Amino acid sequence: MATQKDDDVNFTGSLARIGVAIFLVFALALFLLWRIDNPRAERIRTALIDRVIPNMDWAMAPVSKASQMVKNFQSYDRIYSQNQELRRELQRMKAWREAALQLEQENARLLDLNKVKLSAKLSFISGKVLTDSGSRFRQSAIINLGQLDGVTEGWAAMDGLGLVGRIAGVGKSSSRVLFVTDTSSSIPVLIKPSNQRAILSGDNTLTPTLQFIESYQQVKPGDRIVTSGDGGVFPAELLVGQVTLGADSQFRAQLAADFRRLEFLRVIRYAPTAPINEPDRLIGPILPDTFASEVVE
Amino acid sequence: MKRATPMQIVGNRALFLSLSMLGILFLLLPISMLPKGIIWPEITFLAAMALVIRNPKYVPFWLLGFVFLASDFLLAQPLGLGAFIAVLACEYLRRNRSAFLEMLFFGEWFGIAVILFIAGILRRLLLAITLAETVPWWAFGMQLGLSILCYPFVVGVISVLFRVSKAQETVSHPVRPAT
Repeated sequence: MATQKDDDVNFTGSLARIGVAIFLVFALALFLLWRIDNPRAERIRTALIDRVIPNMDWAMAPVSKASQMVKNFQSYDRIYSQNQELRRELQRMKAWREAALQLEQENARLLDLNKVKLSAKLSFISGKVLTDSGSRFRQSAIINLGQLDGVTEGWAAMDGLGLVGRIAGVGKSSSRVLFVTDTSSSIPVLIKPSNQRAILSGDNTLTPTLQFIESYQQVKPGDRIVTSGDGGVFPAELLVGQVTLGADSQFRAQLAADFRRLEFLRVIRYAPTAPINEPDRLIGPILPDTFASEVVE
Repeated sequence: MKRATPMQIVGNRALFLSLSMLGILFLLLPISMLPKGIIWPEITFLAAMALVIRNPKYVPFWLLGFVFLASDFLLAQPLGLGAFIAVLACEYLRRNRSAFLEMLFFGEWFGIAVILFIAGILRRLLLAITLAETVPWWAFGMQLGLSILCYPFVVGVISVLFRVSKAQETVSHPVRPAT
Protein backbone atom coordinates (compact mmCIF):
# COMPACT_ATOMS: atom_id res chain seq x y z
CA MET A 1 0.00 0.00 0.00
CA ALA A 2 2.78 2.32 0.92
CA THR A 3 4.53 1.92 -2.43
CA GLN A 4 1.30 2.48 -4.30
CA LYS A 5 0.61 5.66 -2.37
CA ASP A 6 4.14 6.86 -2.89
CA ASP A 7 3.91 6.37 -6.65
CA ASP A 8 0.65 8.21 -6.65
CA VAL A 9 2.10 11.06 -4.64
CA ASN A 10 5.21 11.26 -6.78
CA PHE A 11 3.26 11.35 -10.01
CA THR A 12 0.90 14.12 -8.94
CA GLY A 13 3.78 15.71 -7.07
CA SER A 14 5.90 16.18 -10.17
CA LEU A 15 2.90 17.44 -12.12
CA ALA A 16 2.11 19.87 -9.32
CA ARG A 17 5.72 20.99 -9.21
CA ILE A 18 5.59 21.94 -12.89
CA GLY A 19 2.26 23.65 -12.31
CA VAL A 20 3.65 25.65 -9.40
CA ALA A 21 6.67 26.70 -11.42
CA ILE A 22 4.45 27.81 -14.30
CA PHE A 23 2.18 29.70 -11.94
CA LEU A 24 5.08 31.48 -10.22
CA VAL A 25 6.53 32.54 -13.57
CA PHE A 26 3.09 33.73 -14.65
CA ALA A 27 2.55 35.74 -11.46
CA LEU A 28 5.97 37.33 -11.71
CA ALA A 29 5.36 38.16 -15.38
CA LEU A 30 2.03 39.72 -14.43
CA PHE A 31 3.79 41.81 -11.78
CA LEU A 32 6.39 42.97 -14.30
CA LEU A 33 3.64 43.80 -16.81
CA TRP A 34 1.89 45.80 -14.09
CA ARG A 35 5.13 47.65 -13.45
CA ILE A 36 6.25 48.19 -17.04
CA ASP A 37 2.95 48.83 -18.79
CA ASN A 38 0.94 50.12 -15.88
CA PRO A 39 -1.96 51.69 -17.83
CA ARG A 40 -2.61 48.46 -19.71
CA ALA A 41 -2.46 46.33 -16.54
CA GLU A 42 -4.76 48.74 -14.73
CA ARG A 43 -7.16 48.57 -17.66
CA ILE A 44 -7.25 44.79 -17.27
CA ARG A 45 -7.96 45.28 -13.57
CA THR A 46 -10.74 47.81 -14.11
CA ALA A 47 -12.32 45.56 -16.74
CA LEU A 48 -12.36 42.71 -14.22
CA ILE A 49 -13.69 44.88 -11.39
CA ASP A 50 -16.32 46.18 -13.79
CA ARG A 51 -17.51 42.62 -14.35
CA VAL A 52 -17.46 41.54 -10.73
CA ILE A 53 -18.36 44.42 -8.43
CA PRO A 54 -21.69 45.70 -9.83
CA ASN A 55 -22.90 42.09 -9.73
CA MET A 56 -22.03 41.80 -6.06
CA ASP A 57 -24.59 44.41 -5.09
CA TRP A 58 -26.98 41.79 -3.76
CA ALA A 59 -24.31 40.53 -1.37
CA MET A 60 -23.24 43.99 -0.29
CA ALA A 61 -26.71 45.46 0.20
CA PRO A 62 -27.78 43.67 3.40
CA VAL A 63 -24.53 44.30 5.26
CA SER A 64 -24.30 47.94 4.18
CA LYS A 65 -27.92 48.49 5.19
CA ALA A 66 -27.33 46.85 8.56
CA SER A 67 -24.31 49.02 9.29
CA GLN A 68 -26.28 52.11 8.28
CA MET A 69 -29.08 51.09 10.63
CA VAL A 70 -26.63 50.77 13.49
CA LYS A 71 -25.29 54.22 12.73
CA ASN A 72 -28.83 55.62 12.57
CA PHE A 73 -29.69 54.11 15.93
CA GLN A 74 -26.63 55.69 17.41
CA SER A 75 -27.77 59.07 16.14
CA TYR A 76 -31.36 58.57 17.48
CA ASP A 77 -29.76 58.25 20.83
CA ARG A 78 -28.87 61.93 20.96
CA ILE A 79 -31.59 63.25 18.70
CA TYR A 80 -32.78 65.97 21.07
CA SER A 81 -29.44 67.68 21.47
CA GLN A 82 -28.86 67.33 17.74
CA ASN A 83 -32.18 69.01 17.03
CA GLN A 84 -31.35 71.94 19.28
CA GLU A 85 -27.97 72.29 17.62
CA LEU A 86 -29.53 72.21 14.17
CA ARG A 87 -32.05 74.94 15.09
CA ARG A 88 -29.30 77.25 16.26
CA GLU A 89 -27.26 76.50 13.16
CA LEU A 90 -30.27 77.14 10.91
CA GLN A 91 -30.81 80.53 12.53
CA ARG A 92 -27.23 81.50 11.77
CA MET A 93 -27.45 80.09 8.25
CA LYS A 94 -30.49 82.22 7.41
CA ALA A 95 -28.48 85.31 8.12
CA TRP A 96 -25.67 84.00 5.93
CA ARG A 97 -28.09 83.13 3.14
CA GLU A 98 -29.38 86.67 3.11
CA ALA A 99 -25.86 88.01 2.96
CA ALA A 100 -24.94 85.61 0.16
CA LEU A 101 -27.95 86.57 -1.92
CA GLN A 102 -27.15 90.25 -1.63
CA LEU A 103 -23.51 89.62 -2.51
CA GLU A 104 -24.48 87.50 -5.50
CA GLN A 105 -26.71 90.21 -6.89
CA GLU A 106 -24.06 92.84 -6.33
CA ASN A 107 -21.45 90.63 -7.94
CA ALA A 108 -23.66 90.02 -10.97
CA ARG A 109 -24.22 93.76 -11.36
CA LEU A 110 -20.51 94.52 -11.15
CA LEU A 111 -19.61 91.76 -13.58
CA ASP A 112 -22.19 93.09 -15.99
CA LEU A 113 -20.83 96.63 -15.67
CA ASN A 114 -17.33 95.41 -16.44
CA LYS A 115 -18.49 93.13 -19.29
CA VAL A 116 -16.66 90.13 -17.79
CA LYS A 117 -16.96 86.96 -19.83
CA LEU A 118 -17.63 84.09 -17.46
CA SER A 119 -16.31 80.61 -18.12
CA ALA A 120 -18.85 77.91 -18.78
CA LYS A 121 -20.54 76.54 -15.69
CA LEU A 122 -19.40 73.18 -14.44
CA SER A 123 -21.93 70.39 -14.54
CA PHE A 124 -21.80 67.17 -12.62
CA ILE A 125 -23.09 63.60 -12.48
CA SER A 126 -23.93 61.88 -9.23
CA GLY A 127 -23.04 58.30 -8.49
CA LYS A 128 -23.39 55.83 -5.67
CA VAL A 129 -20.43 54.43 -3.74
CA LEU A 130 -20.32 50.69 -4.40
CA THR A 131 -17.33 49.51 -2.41
CA ASP A 132 -14.40 50.49 -0.34
CA SER A 133 -10.94 50.06 -1.86
CA GLY A 134 -10.50 46.90 0.18
CA SER A 135 -6.80 47.49 0.28
CA ARG A 136 -5.19 47.90 3.64
CA PHE A 137 -3.09 50.83 2.55
CA ARG A 138 -5.13 52.51 -0.17
CA GLN A 139 -7.85 55.10 0.37
CA SER A 140 -10.25 54.82 -2.52
CA ALA A 141 -13.76 53.73 -3.46
CA ILE A 142 -15.54 52.35 -6.49
CA ILE A 143 -18.60 54.21 -7.76
CA ASN A 144 -21.26 53.14 -10.23
CA LEU A 145 -20.37 55.61 -12.98
CA GLY A 146 -18.16 54.66 -15.90
CA GLN A 147 -17.41 55.20 -19.55
CA LEU A 148 -21.09 54.79 -20.36
CA ASP A 149 -21.76 57.91 -18.29
CA GLY A 150 -18.93 59.77 -19.97
CA VAL A 151 -16.61 59.71 -16.97
CA THR A 152 -12.98 60.40 -17.83
CA GLU A 153 -9.82 59.77 -15.88
CA GLY A 154 -8.74 62.70 -13.71
CA TRP A 155 -12.13 64.29 -13.10
CA ALA A 156 -12.78 65.62 -9.61
CA ALA A 157 -15.19 63.88 -7.25
CA MET A 158 -16.95 65.81 -4.50
CA ASP A 159 -19.59 65.17 -1.94
CA GLY A 160 -22.20 67.92 -1.65
CA LEU A 161 -19.68 70.42 -0.38
CA GLY A 162 -16.01 69.63 -0.67
CA LEU A 163 -13.49 67.77 -2.75
CA VAL A 164 -13.24 64.04 -2.05
CA GLY A 165 -10.79 62.81 -4.65
CA ARG A 166 -10.24 62.19 -8.32
CA ILE A 167 -11.18 59.51 -10.80
CA ALA A 168 -8.34 57.02 -11.22
CA GLY A 169 -9.34 54.10 -13.40
CA VAL A 170 -12.54 53.96 -15.44
CA GLY A 171 -14.44 50.83 -16.41
CA LYS A 172 -17.58 50.52 -18.52
CA SER A 173 -19.99 51.05 -15.66
CA SER A 174 -17.78 51.60 -12.64
CA SER A 175 -14.78 53.70 -11.79
CA ARG A 176 -12.36 54.17 -8.94
CA VAL A 177 -12.15 57.38 -6.94
CA LEU A 178 -8.76 57.94 -5.32
CA PHE A 179 -9.36 59.93 -2.13
CA VAL A 180 -7.31 62.99 -1.22
CA THR A 181 -6.39 61.13 1.96
CA ASP A 182 -4.46 58.47 0.01
CA THR A 183 -0.69 58.66 0.28
CA SER A 184 -0.27 58.83 -3.50
CA SER A 185 -2.67 61.73 -3.92
CA SER A 186 -1.24 65.22 -4.33
CA ILE A 187 -3.32 68.10 -5.60
CA PRO A 188 -2.34 71.72 -6.33
CA VAL A 189 -4.37 74.04 -4.12
CA LEU A 190 -4.70 77.73 -3.35
CA ILE A 191 -4.98 79.06 0.21
CA LYS A 192 -7.53 81.76 -0.18
CA PRO A 193 -7.11 85.21 1.27
CA SER A 194 -3.34 85.21 0.80
CA ASN A 195 -3.40 83.31 -2.53
CA GLN A 196 -0.56 81.04 -1.45
CA ARG A 197 -0.04 78.03 -3.64
CA ALA A 198 0.53 74.66 -2.01
CA ILE A 199 0.30 70.93 -2.66
CA LEU A 200 -2.30 68.97 -0.74
CA SER A 201 -0.81 65.54 -0.21
CA GLY A 202 -2.54 62.72 1.63
CA ASP A 203 -0.87 60.75 4.39
CA ASN A 204 -3.52 58.20 5.40
CA THR A 205 -5.09 60.53 7.95
CA LEU A 206 -8.30 62.54 7.74
CA THR A 207 -6.29 65.77 7.57
CA PRO A 208 -3.94 65.75 4.54
CA THR A 209 -0.80 67.85 4.77
CA LEU A 210 -0.18 71.12 2.92
CA GLN A 211 3.29 71.08 1.45
CA PHE A 212 5.47 73.54 -0.47
CA ILE A 213 3.68 76.62 0.84
CA GLU A 214 5.52 79.64 -0.54
CA SER A 215 5.52 81.77 2.60
CA TYR A 216 4.37 80.26 5.84
CA GLN A 217 3.91 83.64 7.52
CA GLN A 218 0.93 84.49 5.34
CA VAL A 219 -1.01 81.30 6.12
CA LYS A 220 -3.23 81.18 9.19
CA PRO A 221 -5.36 78.37 10.56
CA GLY A 222 -8.91 78.93 9.37
CA ASP A 223 -7.96 80.07 5.88
CA ARG A 224 -10.02 78.56 3.08
CA ILE A 225 -8.42 76.06 0.72
CA VAL A 226 -9.64 75.67 -2.87
CA THR A 227 -8.20 73.83 -5.85
CA SER A 228 -5.94 76.04 -7.93
CA GLY A 229 -6.53 74.43 -11.31
CA ASP A 230 -2.77 74.29 -11.95
CA GLY A 231 -1.73 71.36 -14.06
CA GLY A 232 -5.03 71.44 -15.89
CA VAL A 233 -6.43 68.31 -14.25
CA PHE A 234 -8.95 69.91 -11.92
CA PRO A 235 -11.11 72.96 -12.44
CA ALA A 236 -10.11 75.87 -10.22
CA GLU A 237 -12.04 77.07 -7.16
CA LEU A 238 -13.43 73.76 -5.92
CA LEU A 239 -13.73 73.93 -2.15
CA VAL A 240 -11.30 71.64 -0.31
CA GLY A 241 -11.53 72.78 3.31
CA GLN A 242 -9.81 74.91 5.92
CA VAL A 243 -6.25 75.22 7.12
CA THR A 244 -5.52 73.77 10.54
CA LEU A 245 -2.30 73.48 12.45
CA GLY A 246 -1.63 69.81 13.19
CA ALA A 247 -0.18 68.43 16.40
CA ASP A 248 3.15 68.11 14.57
CA SER A 249 3.03 71.91 13.93
CA GLN A 250 2.53 71.30 10.23
CA PHE A 251 -0.19 72.98 8.20
CA ARG A 252 -2.94 70.52 7.37
CA ALA A 253 -6.31 70.67 5.64
CA GLN A 254 -9.52 70.14 7.56
CA LEU A 255 -11.57 68.67 4.71
CA ALA A 256 -14.98 70.12 3.95
CA ALA A 257 -16.19 66.79 2.63
CA ASP A 258 -17.72 64.52 5.26
CA PHE A 259 -15.87 61.22 4.91
CA ARG A 260 -18.08 59.63 7.55
CA ARG A 261 -21.10 59.81 5.28
CA LEU A 262 -19.91 59.09 1.78
CA GLU A 263 -22.78 57.35 0.09
CA PHE A 264 -23.08 59.41 -3.05
CA LEU A 265 -20.40 61.31 -4.94
CA ARG A 266 -20.59 64.09 -7.48
CA VAL A 267 -18.24 63.78 -10.42
CA ILE A 268 -17.47 67.19 -11.93
CA ARG A 269 -17.44 67.21 -15.73
CA TYR A 270 -14.44 69.17 -16.86
CA ALA A 271 -12.65 69.64 -20.15
CA PRO A 272 -9.53 71.76 -19.64
CA THR A 273 -9.12 74.65 -22.04
CA ALA A 274 -6.52 74.16 -24.73
CA PRO A 275 -3.12 75.53 -23.69
CA ILE A 276 -1.96 78.62 -25.52
CA ASN A 277 1.50 77.96 -26.92
CA GLU A 278 1.79 80.38 -29.84
CA PRO A 279 0.87 83.91 -28.88
CA ASP A 280 0.77 85.27 -32.43
CA ARG A 281 -2.06 82.96 -33.36
CA LEU A 282 -4.26 84.68 -30.84
CA ILE A 283 -4.45 87.96 -32.72
CA GLY A 284 -6.26 88.10 -36.01
CA PRO A 285 -7.68 85.29 -38.11
CA ILE A 286 -5.66 82.20 -38.92
CA LEU A 287 -4.12 82.85 -42.31
CA PRO A 288 -3.55 80.25 -45.02
CA ASP A 289 0.13 79.23 -45.13
CA THR A 290 0.96 80.70 -48.56
CA PHE A 291 -0.64 84.00 -47.70
CA ALA A 292 1.06 84.09 -44.33
CA SER A 293 4.51 83.64 -45.91
CA GLU A 294 3.81 86.52 -48.34
CA VAL A 295 2.83 88.75 -45.47
CA VAL A 296 6.04 87.92 -43.64
CA GLU A 297 8.11 88.84 -46.68
CA MET B 1 -3.85 7.08 9.93
CA LYS B 2 -7.04 8.69 8.77
CA ARG B 3 -7.18 9.82 5.20
CA ALA B 4 -9.62 12.43 3.96
CA THR B 5 -12.25 11.05 1.61
CA PRO B 6 -12.56 12.67 -1.83
CA MET B 7 -15.84 14.22 -0.75
CA GLN B 8 -14.15 15.79 2.27
CA ILE B 9 -11.36 17.14 0.09
CA VAL B 10 -13.75 18.74 -2.39
CA GLY B 11 -15.95 20.07 0.41
CA ASN B 12 -13.05 21.62 2.27
CA ARG B 13 -11.60 23.16 -0.88
CA ALA B 14 -14.99 24.76 -1.53
CA LEU B 15 -15.05 25.91 2.10
CA PHE B 16 -11.62 27.51 1.77
CA LEU B 17 -12.62 29.22 -1.47
CA SER B 18 -15.86 30.59 -0.07
CA LEU B 19 -14.23 31.76 3.18
CA SER B 20 -11.52 33.64 1.34
CA MET B 21 -14.07 35.21 -1.01
CA LEU B 22 -16.06 36.24 2.07
CA GLY B 23 -12.90 37.84 3.40
CA ILE B 24 -12.46 39.87 0.21
CA LEU B 25 -16.12 40.87 0.33
CA PHE B 26 -15.71 42.01 3.93
CA LEU B 27 -12.74 44.16 3.01
CA LEU B 28 -14.69 45.66 0.10
CA LEU B 29 -17.78 46.61 2.11
CA PRO B 30 -18.23 50.39 2.14
CA ILE B 31 -18.78 50.55 5.89
CA SER B 32 -16.43 53.41 6.63
CA MET B 33 -14.54 55.67 4.28
CA LEU B 34 -12.38 57.08 7.04
CA PRO B 35 -8.67 56.35 6.82
CA LYS B 36 -8.12 53.12 8.66
CA GLY B 37 -6.03 53.31 11.78
CA ILE B 38 -5.51 49.57 11.98
CA ILE B 39 -3.78 47.70 9.20
CA TRP B 40 -5.61 44.38 8.88
CA PRO B 41 -3.48 41.22 9.16
CA GLU B 42 -3.31 38.87 6.21
CA ILE B 43 -5.83 36.34 7.48
CA THR B 44 -6.20 34.40 4.23
CA PHE B 45 -2.45 33.96 3.93
CA LEU B 46 -2.26 32.73 7.54
CA ALA B 47 -5.14 30.31 7.00
CA ALA B 48 -3.52 28.98 3.84
CA MET B 49 -0.24 28.35 5.64
CA ALA B 50 -1.95 26.67 8.61
CA LEU B 51 -3.90 24.41 6.22
CA VAL B 52 -0.83 23.52 4.15
CA ILE B 53 0.86 22.23 7.30
CA ARG B 54 -2.20 20.36 8.53
CA ASN B 55 -3.66 18.96 5.34
CA PRO B 56 -2.05 20.09 2.10
CA LYS B 57 -4.70 18.35 0.01
CA TYR B 58 -7.26 20.95 1.03
CA VAL B 59 -5.26 23.79 -0.49
CA PRO B 60 -3.75 22.79 -3.84
CA PHE B 61 -1.53 25.40 -5.48
CA TRP B 62 -4.07 26.31 -8.15
CA LEU B 63 -6.69 27.12 -5.53
CA LEU B 64 -4.20 29.29 -3.64
CA GLY B 65 -3.14 30.93 -6.90
CA PHE B 66 -6.72 31.72 -7.82
CA VAL B 67 -7.60 33.14 -4.41
CA PHE B 68 -4.53 35.34 -4.14
CA LEU B 69 -4.75 36.52 -7.74
CA ALA B 70 -8.38 37.46 -7.15
CA SER B 71 -7.46 39.43 -4.04
CA ASP B 72 -4.62 41.17 -5.93
CA PHE B 73 -7.06 42.23 -8.63
CA LEU B 74 -9.99 43.23 -6.46
CA LEU B 75 -8.16 44.90 -3.58
CA ALA B 76 -6.12 47.39 -5.61
CA GLN B 77 -2.79 45.71 -4.88
CA PRO B 78 0.18 45.26 -7.21
CA LEU B 79 -1.00 42.66 -9.71
CA GLY B 80 0.50 39.20 -9.30
CA LEU B 81 2.92 40.14 -6.53
CA GLY B 82 0.74 38.97 -3.64
CA ALA B 83 -0.06 35.73 -5.47
CA PHE B 84 3.61 35.14 -6.28
CA ILE B 85 4.74 35.55 -2.68
CA ALA B 86 1.84 33.65 -1.11
CA VAL B 87 2.17 30.66 -3.44
CA LEU B 88 5.95 30.65 -3.03
CA ALA B 89 5.65 30.63 0.77
CA CYS B 90 2.94 27.97 0.80
CA GLU B 91 4.85 25.71 -1.59
CA TYR B 92 7.96 26.09 0.56
CA LEU B 93 5.87 24.99 3.54
CA ARG B 94 4.45 22.07 1.56
CA ARG B 95 7.95 20.81 0.77
CA ASN B 96 9.10 21.18 4.39
CA ARG B 97 5.84 20.09 5.87
CA SER B 98 7.19 17.15 7.85
CA ALA B 99 9.53 19.41 9.81
CA PHE B 100 6.65 21.66 10.80
CA LEU B 101 4.47 18.68 11.72
CA GLU B 102 7.08 17.43 14.17
CA MET B 103 7.39 20.81 15.89
CA LEU B 104 5.48 21.88 18.96
CA PHE B 105 3.10 24.73 18.36
CA PHE B 106 5.53 27.39 19.55
CA GLY B 107 8.16 26.17 17.13
CA GLU B 108 5.64 26.28 14.31
CA TRP B 109 4.56 29.77 15.33
CA PHE B 110 8.16 30.95 15.28
CA GLY B 111 8.69 29.38 11.86
CA ILE B 112 5.57 31.07 10.50
CA ALA B 113 6.74 34.39 11.95
CA VAL B 114 10.05 34.04 10.13
CA ILE B 115 8.27 33.16 6.88
CA LEU B 116 5.93 36.15 7.27
CA PHE B 117 8.90 38.43 7.86
CA ILE B 118 10.80 37.10 4.84
CA ALA B 119 7.66 37.35 2.69
CA GLY B 120 7.16 40.96 3.75
CA ILE B 121 10.77 41.86 3.06
CA LEU B 122 10.65 40.08 -0.31
CA ARG B 123 7.55 42.08 -1.25
CA ARG B 124 9.23 45.35 -0.28
CA LEU B 125 12.38 44.34 -2.09
CA LEU B 126 10.55 43.49 -5.33
CA LEU B 127 8.62 46.75 -5.14
CA ALA B 128 11.80 48.71 -4.42
CA ILE B 129 13.73 47.06 -7.26
CA THR B 130 11.00 47.99 -9.73
CA LEU B 131 10.85 51.52 -8.25
CA ALA B 132 7.23 51.07 -7.21
CA GLU B 133 5.68 52.72 -4.21
CA THR B 134 6.16 50.81 -0.95
CA VAL B 135 4.02 51.07 2.16
CA PRO B 136 5.45 53.08 5.07
CA TRP B 137 7.51 51.13 7.61
CA TRP B 138 5.08 51.63 10.48
CA ALA B 139 2.28 50.05 8.41
CA PHE B 140 4.60 47.20 7.44
CA GLY B 141 5.56 46.60 11.08
CA MET B 142 1.99 46.82 12.30
CA GLN B 143 0.73 44.36 9.73
CA LEU B 144 3.57 41.94 10.40
CA GLY B 145 3.05 42.13 14.17
CA LEU B 146 -0.72 41.71 13.96
CA SER B 147 -0.38 38.82 11.50
CA ILE B 148 2.03 37.00 13.81
CA LEU B 149 -0.23 37.62 16.82
CA CYS B 150 -3.27 36.37 14.90
CA TYR B 151 -1.73 33.06 13.84
CA PRO B 152 -2.82 31.01 16.92
CA PHE B 153 -6.41 32.24 16.56
CA VAL B 154 -6.43 31.43 12.86
CA VAL B 155 -5.10 27.95 13.64
CA GLY B 156 -7.81 27.49 16.25
CA VAL B 157 -10.60 28.51 13.88
CA ILE B 158 -9.13 26.47 11.03
CA SER B 159 -8.90 23.29 13.06
CA VAL B 160 -12.55 23.60 14.08
CA LEU B 161 -13.91 24.53 10.63
CA PHE B 162 -11.85 22.09 8.57
CA ARG B 163 -11.50 19.44 11.28
CA VAL B 164 -7.77 19.20 10.86
CA SER B 165 -5.10 18.79 13.46
CA LYS B 166 -1.46 17.93 13.41
CA ALA B 167 -2.08 14.77 15.45
CA GLN B 168 -4.27 13.33 12.69
CA GLU B 169 -1.47 13.51 10.22
CA THR B 170 1.12 11.03 11.41
CA VAL B 171 4.28 11.34 9.46
CA SER B 172 5.83 8.19 8.08
CA HIS B 173 9.07 8.19 9.95
CA PRO B 174 11.60 5.47 9.30
CA VAL B 175 12.78 5.36 12.92
CA ARG B 176 9.41 5.28 14.56
CA PRO B 177 7.64 1.89 14.50
CA ALA B 178 4.29 1.95 12.79
CA THR B 179 1.40 1.75 15.20
